[in-house]
Amino acid sequence: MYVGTAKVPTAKVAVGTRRRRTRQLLLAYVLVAPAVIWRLAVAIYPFLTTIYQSFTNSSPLSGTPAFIGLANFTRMFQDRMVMQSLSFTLIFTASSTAIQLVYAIGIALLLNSAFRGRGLVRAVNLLPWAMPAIVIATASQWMFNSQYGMIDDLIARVLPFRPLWLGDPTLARIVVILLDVWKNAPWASIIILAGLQNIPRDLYEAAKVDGASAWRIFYSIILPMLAPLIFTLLIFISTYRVITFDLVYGLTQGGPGNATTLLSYQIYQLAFTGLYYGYGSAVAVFAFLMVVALSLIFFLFMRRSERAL
Amino acid sequence: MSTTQIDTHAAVSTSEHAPDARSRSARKTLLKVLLYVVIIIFLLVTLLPIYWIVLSAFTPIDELFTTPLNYFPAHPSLVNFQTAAQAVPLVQQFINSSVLSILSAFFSVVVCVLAAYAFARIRFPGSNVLFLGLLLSGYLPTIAMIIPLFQLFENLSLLDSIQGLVILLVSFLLPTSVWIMTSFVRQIPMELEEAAQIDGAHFLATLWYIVVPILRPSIATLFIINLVTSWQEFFFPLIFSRSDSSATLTVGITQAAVNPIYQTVAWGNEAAMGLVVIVPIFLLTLIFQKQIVEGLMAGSLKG
Repeated sequence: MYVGTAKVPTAKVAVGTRRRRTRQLLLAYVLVAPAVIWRLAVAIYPFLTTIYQSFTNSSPLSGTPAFIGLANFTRMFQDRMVMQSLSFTLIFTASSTAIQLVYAIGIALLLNSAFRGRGLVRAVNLLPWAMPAIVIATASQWMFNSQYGMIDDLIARVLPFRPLWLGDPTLARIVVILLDVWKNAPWASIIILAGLQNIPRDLYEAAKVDGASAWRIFYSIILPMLAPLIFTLLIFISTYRVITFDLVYGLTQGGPGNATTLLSYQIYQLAFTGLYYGYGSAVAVFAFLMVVALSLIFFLFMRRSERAL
Repeated sequence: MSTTQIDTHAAVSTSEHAPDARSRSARKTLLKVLLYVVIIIFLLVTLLPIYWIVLSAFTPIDELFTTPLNYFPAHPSLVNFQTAAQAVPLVQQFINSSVLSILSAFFSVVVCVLAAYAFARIRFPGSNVLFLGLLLSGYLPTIAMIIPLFQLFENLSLLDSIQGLVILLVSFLLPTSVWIMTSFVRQIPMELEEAAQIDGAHFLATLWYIVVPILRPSIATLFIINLVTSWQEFFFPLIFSRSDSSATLTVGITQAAVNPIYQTVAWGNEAAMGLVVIVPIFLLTLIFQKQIVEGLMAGSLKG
C-alpha cells in the first residue's frame, strides 16, 4: 500500500501522515479514557469530596452540612479514642513493616537456596497471600482462644501458662501484628526473591574466590544489591499498614477496650456507626497525610542514599 | 539460607587442603540439617493456621471444645457445613463472590490492556502525567473515599448490588493492573507491530490481532491475580451490601459470627465457611502458581 507513495507529491504524504498522527493521538486518548475516567469518578472525585467534607459537620442525621473550618481537626486531637488509635497505628505500622521485611528476606533466601521439594515450599508460601484477611482473622479469634485455641494448646503442652491472648491489650496487639506479618510477608518475599534472582552470579563467585564468609556475602553483596528494591517495598508495605482494616474487624473489633483500633477501623466506626461523616472525613484526611508523609520520608531517604553511593 | 549453597561451593574449591576436608564436610552436613529444620519450621508456621481451619470445619462442635485439643477429628462430619448453610445463604453468597470476582477481574483486565497499549506504544501529550497519576492514585486510601462513595452510590441506587461492587473493585484494581500490563506490553518486541502497520493494518487491528495474542499469557496472569484479590475483598461488601442479594462469602463469615443464636458455638460455622472461601482460591493459586509468581514479580521490578 505504501510502496506506491514514492511517486506521490511530498505535500500529500505530509498531510497523510499528519492525519494518521492525529488519528493515532485520538486513539491514544480513547484507549486511556476508560481507566482514567473510572479512577476519576470512583477514586479522585470521592477523595476530593472527603477533603471538602472534612471541613463540614456533614451527617445523614442532620440537615444541610455547615462549613466549620478546622473544628473537626482540633476535635480530633482532643479525642482520646482517635489519639489512641493513632498511636497504635504508628506502633503497628512500624513494627509490622520491620518484622515483615526481615521475615520476607528470610523466606526469600530460603526459597532461593537449593533443596529437595523447593517447588512445593514455594507453592505453600503463596497460600497466605491467597488467604482472605477476614478468614484468617476469624480463625485466629478461636486459634488464640485461651481455653480451646490451638496456639494455647500448643503452648500449654510445653509451658505451664495460658495467656489471655485477646483479653490483654499488649498481647492482643502482638497477635494483630503477627497475623499481619503471616498474611503479607509471603507477598514481599516473592518480590525480594525476584530481586535475589537478578543479582549476577559472578558477584557471588568473585566473593567466594576472595574467601568471603556467607554472612559477609549477605551483608556486602546481597543487601546493597537489594537496597533499591527494599526501599520501594518499605514505601509500599508501610503505607498499606496505615490503612489495614479487615484483620482488626475480624479478630478483635478494636478491643480489648480500644487497644487494637487501627485508624481505618476508627474511621469506619465514626462514619458508619456514629454517622459523623464530616468528622470521619477529617480523620481519613489525616490518615491520607500519614501515607503521604511516610512515602515522602522513604523516598527522600532513598534519594539521599542513592546519591551517597 | 542461600548461605549453604555458597558454602558448598566454597567447600569444593578448598577441598585440596586435606586437613580441612573432614571438618568442612561435617560443617556442610550440619548446615544442610539446619536448612531442613528451618524449612520445617517455616512450613509449620505457614500451614498450621490453615490446618486449624480444616480441622475445625470437619469436627463436630462438642468435640471442638476440648482441653487438650484433638488434632484429628474423632468423628469427622459435615455438620458444620449444614449449620453454616442454615445461618447464612451460603450458596447465594458463593454465587455472589464468584460473579463479583470474575466480572471485576474481567473488566479490570480489559480496561488496563487498552490503557497499557496506549501508554507503551503511542507517544501522546500528557501520557506521562496520566500514567503517573493513575499509579499514584493507587496510594489514595480507600478509607479516605468511602464516605462520599457511599453517598454517591446511595444517590445512584447502586447500594447493595453486584454491579456497584464491580465498579468499586475494578477501580481499586486498576492502578496496579495498568502498571503491570504496561510493563508486559513494553516487553513485546516492536517489530511485529511495525510490520503489521507497514502492511496498512489499523492500530486497533494491530492491537487485536497481533498484540493481544502475544499478550495472552500476561492477560491470563493478571486475570488470575485480580481474581484472587477480588475474592478476598471484604471492605466494600461490608459497607455496600445490605441484603443477601449482594453479600459475599467474606461478609457471610462475619454474619455467622455475630448471629446471636450461634454465639457460643459459632466457630464450627465460621470454620466451615472459611473452608468454603479458601478451597477454590487455594486450588486456583496452586494450579497457576507459576503465572502468579511471574505476575507479582513483573509488577514490582520494572521501573
